[in-house]
Amino acid sequence: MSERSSRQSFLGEQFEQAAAECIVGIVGLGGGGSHIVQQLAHIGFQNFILYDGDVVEESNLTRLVGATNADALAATKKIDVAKRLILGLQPGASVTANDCRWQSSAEALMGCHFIFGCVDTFSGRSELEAFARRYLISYIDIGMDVTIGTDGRPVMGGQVTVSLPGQPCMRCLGILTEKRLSEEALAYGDVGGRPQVVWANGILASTAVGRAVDLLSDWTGRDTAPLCLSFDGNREEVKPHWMGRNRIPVICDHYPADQVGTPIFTNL
Amino acid sequence: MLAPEIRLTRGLYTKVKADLDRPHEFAHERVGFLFGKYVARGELQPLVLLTRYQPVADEHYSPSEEFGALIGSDSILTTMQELRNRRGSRECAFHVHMHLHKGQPGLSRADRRGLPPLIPSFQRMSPDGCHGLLILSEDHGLAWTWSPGNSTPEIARTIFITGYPMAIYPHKETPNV
Repeated sequence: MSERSSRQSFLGEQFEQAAAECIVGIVGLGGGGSHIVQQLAHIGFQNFILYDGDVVEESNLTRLVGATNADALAATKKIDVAKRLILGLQPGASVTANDCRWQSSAEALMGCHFIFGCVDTFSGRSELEAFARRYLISYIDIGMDVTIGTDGRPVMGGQVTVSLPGQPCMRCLGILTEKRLSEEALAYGDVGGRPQVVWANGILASTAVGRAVDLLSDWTGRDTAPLCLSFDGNREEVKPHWMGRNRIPVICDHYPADQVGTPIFTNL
Repeated sequence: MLAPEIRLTRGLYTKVKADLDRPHEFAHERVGFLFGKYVARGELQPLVLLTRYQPVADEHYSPSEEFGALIGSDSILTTMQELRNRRGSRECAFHVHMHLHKGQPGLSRADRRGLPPLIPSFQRMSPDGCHGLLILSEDHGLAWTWSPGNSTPEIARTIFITGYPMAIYPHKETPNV
């Protein structure tokens, strides 16, 4: 184990090598994704497949880890900010930076062992999870929102969901529902920018990275772990999502085990 | 062509190991067959996604002076039929067995003589699939893979067990035979 990893040696002798072998995809490099990039690079991950087609704007500077005023002025691509952050910590890292939607360059994403989904929409989550299931990839999703409560005060919430092939999916867990997807589709083009703040992004991203490290290192030695954690920003709590404790089917019906690989069209 | 990565879920991996770990009346090693799909990715490393396991029934083993035990033709024919039924869908078949030690396994002399002759039959049944031999140890694994159209094997670069916990078994250059 290297001197650099000495303070995280409890993760096990094999962890440093496992993190170096692991290929991580991060879709969305905004408030959540930029935290995840930074933490994974600190930990020792070496192989990154990144997706984001946006550039840094002034309104991003409240939460985009690694971005500077100069980046906003120069409209630096978010993938370049992330790449700079990674290579500053891991000069030998392999970074494939895709300045596009992930669907436009999906073959690289198939090779990942983890995908972190940091997207704003339920349909975006649904597409990424379906993709991850097809290629037997562990998918970790983060999301947050701020709504107005009945008393007129802001209500900050979010969740971290771990979707593993062969286990309950985000539909099983009640995160993705037809109602949510259809409401979102009806409001298409009228959603506007969702509220985001750096500390909530940081909590969700840290929780997601912690789950990924546990998946890879098994340092907790748990037999099972909740698949969904819920964040209550007003109470400052992270706890198992209520759907994560109840009514979870043991076997996922949404993604049958043998429906993997790239679909093939055949003549009937 | 790059050697593929082999993927299977933790649940399937556990099921396979539990089956192979059972003692048999006279066979020193149990074997089974894994099935899945081949994913070509252009210039990128291809994937083999294994999703189903077919154990070999106790009565399909027969004693052999040369190998200790052999599996009967019924098991091979069932495997070939499974491939034929899914012909044209990049279906893959892997012969799997366990070596009871820690660290990266390797092909024994008996494995080298007895197992590769299975592959041409698999290739005939499913020519667009990737077929091979998978050996699991207590904490590692290694796979010899025949990509579509290849008559010689390559060693899979990695074996990836997805799920909780996940594991990545990279191929190291000097296997312990």
